[in-house]
Amino acid sequence: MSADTSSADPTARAVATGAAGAGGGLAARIGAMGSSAAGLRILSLAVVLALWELFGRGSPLVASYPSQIVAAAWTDLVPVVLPAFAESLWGFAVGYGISAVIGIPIGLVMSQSRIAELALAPYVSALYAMPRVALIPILIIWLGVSFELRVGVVIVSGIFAIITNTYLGGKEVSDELLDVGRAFKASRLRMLRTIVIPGSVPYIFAGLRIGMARSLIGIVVAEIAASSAGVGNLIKVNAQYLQMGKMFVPIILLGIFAIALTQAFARLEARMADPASWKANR
Amino acid sequence: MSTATPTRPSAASPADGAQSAPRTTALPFLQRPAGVWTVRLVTFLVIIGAWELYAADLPRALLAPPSEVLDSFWQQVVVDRSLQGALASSLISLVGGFALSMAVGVPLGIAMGRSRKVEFTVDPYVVFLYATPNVALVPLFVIWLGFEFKLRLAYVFISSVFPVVINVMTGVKNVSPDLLECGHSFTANERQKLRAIVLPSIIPYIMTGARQALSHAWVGVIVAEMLATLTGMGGLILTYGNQFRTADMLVSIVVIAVLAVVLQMGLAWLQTRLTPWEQR
Repeated sequence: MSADTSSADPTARAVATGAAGAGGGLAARIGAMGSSAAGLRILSLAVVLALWELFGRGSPLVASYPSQIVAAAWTDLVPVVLPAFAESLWGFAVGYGISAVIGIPIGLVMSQSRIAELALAPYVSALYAMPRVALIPILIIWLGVSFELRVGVVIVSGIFAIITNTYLGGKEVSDELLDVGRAFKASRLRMLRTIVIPGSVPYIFAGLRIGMARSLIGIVVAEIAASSAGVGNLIKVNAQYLQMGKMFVPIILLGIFAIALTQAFARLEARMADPASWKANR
Repeated sequence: MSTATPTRPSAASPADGAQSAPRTTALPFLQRPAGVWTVRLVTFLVIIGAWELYAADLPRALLAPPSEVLDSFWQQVVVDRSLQGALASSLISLVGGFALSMAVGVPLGIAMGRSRKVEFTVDPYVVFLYATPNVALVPLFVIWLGFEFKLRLAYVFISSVFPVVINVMTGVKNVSPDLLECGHSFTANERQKLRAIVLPSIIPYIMTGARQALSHAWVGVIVAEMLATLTGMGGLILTYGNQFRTADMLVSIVVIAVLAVVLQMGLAWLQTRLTPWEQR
């Protein structure tokens, strides 16, 4: 974007950075990096990682440092971290699947039946707004502290986002289309299948995306709070033994995984949000 | 993000001018306030009744009936006043962390929206920290900050700052280029542009960010209290849960849920007052 203005006078830049003679080429190149998006990000990361390394080596028990984390990843990633991740993902996938399978129909029913809407909406929106982590202790009493608890926490974390968005989507379906359906004496089921569901697909996907992010939080909360398995537990145990380098490996992996999942879903959502392409694909 | 706005009774009534008069007179029972409240009340009574009957035969540790929850509420609020202290402690963390998020998030969002250099320097961390489930950072924060107030403050801050940053940045980028150009023609400096053009334009985005931040902050308070400091409302839940005092625990859960709803509704009301020109 602004690359043209700054690269126009590389000499001035080199002088400004105080590099004369042989060092000038390198300084100019670093200077040029500072004007592109990717360059700035890499530069910023390099500076932060270098500072972290510098300070972290001074007090390894408090902050760890990048080279220690890389070393920990080298030894721990395959034997320890990935199995824990697989364990977490299993609970996440089961809970999220159940949320989607139950949540979408509930949302659709709420959008179509006035009675269901009036009866359920207050509870759904209250549960959607409240911190669901507060429900963990009672879920522990009901479900124990093993796999069922993790699935239960994932469900209460994600399902209300799915229900709410599906419900709002179903209510946004064009009245004209519904009138056409009525005029042609379509049955309720047929109208649901051919008008309501296709019309609310963008909302359903938004709900599935928000629900997914919250389910991911749910599985980690459940594991840190109660469970003795998975990524959350790995982070907790490493922190308790002050194994800082080993603790950061699952945290960073979790972040990368969350970003990748969100990006992939946003891409899918962008495709599905256009009902025309959605129908053409079938 | 969509916050649930469940019933808009007015939206269900007339849509087409001329036909509206006959339709409103024949408004079905379920569209009128009387019908709406009948259904809500009946549902509420059915849920409470079924819960009371179902819980009667269960061990108290598993589930307490609503009547005992109400008793416990009376006990905690009026008799020994234990709830107020916990609630006050939680609210201090909430307000402190939320204020910190706004104080840091709004300027940072403006800087990221106005300068591409700032944006690209900072956004890798914003994206990473916003996407990572914050709760994974709780053990780290405990090591850094101990089990004290500053842990709650820091955790509430990290839970709630990013919605503010991202919304404000989006708002700044959406400021009308015509207005900025106009300011530029009148040789306004950056500071004047910020005060006269950018800040007024981004108020709706600040409010949206604040709403999301407040709800994230409340989650952050409860998470920090439950997983680390064992104080406040989160601490009450965990303590009662560990002692299988289910009725006492349900009181805290309901109070937390009600407060979450009240906070959301309060800010939504404030938003319509502050930005009445925004259509919703």
